[in-house]
Amino acid sequence: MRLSVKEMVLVSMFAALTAVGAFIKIPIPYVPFTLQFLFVLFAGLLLDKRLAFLSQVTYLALGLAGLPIFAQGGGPAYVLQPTFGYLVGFALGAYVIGAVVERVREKGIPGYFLASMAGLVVVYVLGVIHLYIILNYVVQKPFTLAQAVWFGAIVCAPGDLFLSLVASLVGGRVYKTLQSVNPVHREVF
Amino acid sequence: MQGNITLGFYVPGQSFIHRLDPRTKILACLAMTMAVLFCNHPAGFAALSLVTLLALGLARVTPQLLLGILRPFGIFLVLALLLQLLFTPGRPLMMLGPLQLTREGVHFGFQLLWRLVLLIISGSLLTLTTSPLMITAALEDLLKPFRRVGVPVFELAMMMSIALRFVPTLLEEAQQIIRAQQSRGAAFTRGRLVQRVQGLVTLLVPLFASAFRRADELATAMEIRCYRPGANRTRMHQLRFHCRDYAVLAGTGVLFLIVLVMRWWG
Repeated sequence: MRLSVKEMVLVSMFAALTAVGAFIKIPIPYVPFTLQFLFVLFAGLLLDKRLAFLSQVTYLALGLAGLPIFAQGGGPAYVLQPTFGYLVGFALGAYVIGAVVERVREKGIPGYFLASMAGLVVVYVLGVIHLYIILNYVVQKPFTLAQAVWFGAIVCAPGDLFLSLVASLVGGRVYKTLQSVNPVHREVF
Repeated sequence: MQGNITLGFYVPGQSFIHRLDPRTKILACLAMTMAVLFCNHPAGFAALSLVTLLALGLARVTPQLLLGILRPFGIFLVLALLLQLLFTPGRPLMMLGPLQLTREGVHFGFQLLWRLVLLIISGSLLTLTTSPLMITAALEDLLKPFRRVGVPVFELAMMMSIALRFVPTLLEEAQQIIRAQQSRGAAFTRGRLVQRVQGLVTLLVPLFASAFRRADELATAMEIRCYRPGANRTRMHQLRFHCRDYAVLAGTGVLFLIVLVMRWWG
């Protein structure tokens, strides 16, 4: 994989933005949530798919290397947290969002929303699988898959749907502005 | 998250563990983790606990610091223990209403708790005694073989360093923008959904503008200095293995083997 300097710096920026997103908490009734996923969405919607993927890998690596940039801290032991699967999902999700949006970009907001949904599904699938594995094999308690889906996906869906909506509404505008205002970015985007 | 974010959980110091090569610490941490996961013998647990205690002592970790490490995992640990205690079938010890505490439940519950605590401590010892920059450098070195299969290892390490440098900057900027927009009446936390979306947009647009501007400036600066991605680079502080590193690696390796032997032949 060959990367230009500009691509590398952009990847780092999105990794840093995702980290910043973990610190901004938005209180919504019942399920307060953080903005991490919003920046995963933007990485996928604005960057090329492999850059989006790399940005989340960088974020993940930094968190595991001991930066407290995940929702509840960081460090290698974070792998044990039942929510770690979502973070792995971010990387694959960002890639999927990038891959889908490539094809439907000209459809505007519905296209962006479709791509976001595809990414959300990937994040949830990985999140639920990890939750299921941790509960069944580390905590060693038989949780059914249905229970894992309920706690791992349905309960937190409203907040993430809200963020997907925000990203689809804003994403297109940001993408266009970047292309028209700043010709420097054309080779990247 | 007070204090310096870029240092993470790192507590600067000059202890024996601090002075080990970061690559040694990563490998030792991996070996300990695997050993704890494979261990199923009381003697093995005793040995692993002793080694962990020794490492904690050598790193001069205070009890308060130890509690601080375990706190984020508190709910998870308590939940794991309770589920084991209350829902393991077996010989009953005592009844708590409809629930019963069994001998097996107590046994499995505390074994699991101990296992998890050992895992968390051995992971945290790495991040407590090694700065994120050193870990990045060590990872770059350890993952070098993966360049053969096309993983951009050098680039990833560089991107980690850049992101590390920009996390505090962008965080401060985001907080500044939030305060600025709130003073202009933007609603992040109240109002109807539409108002919250508008509030978020007033945060996102300036944040992106600034992030892209910084990215542009940095990329130009790097290009001017002829930075080439993926090129073999020298570093200011070369990583070097000392006697103590070989000793620690040999020690954890032997411990790991003993645990494996106990699992399959013990």
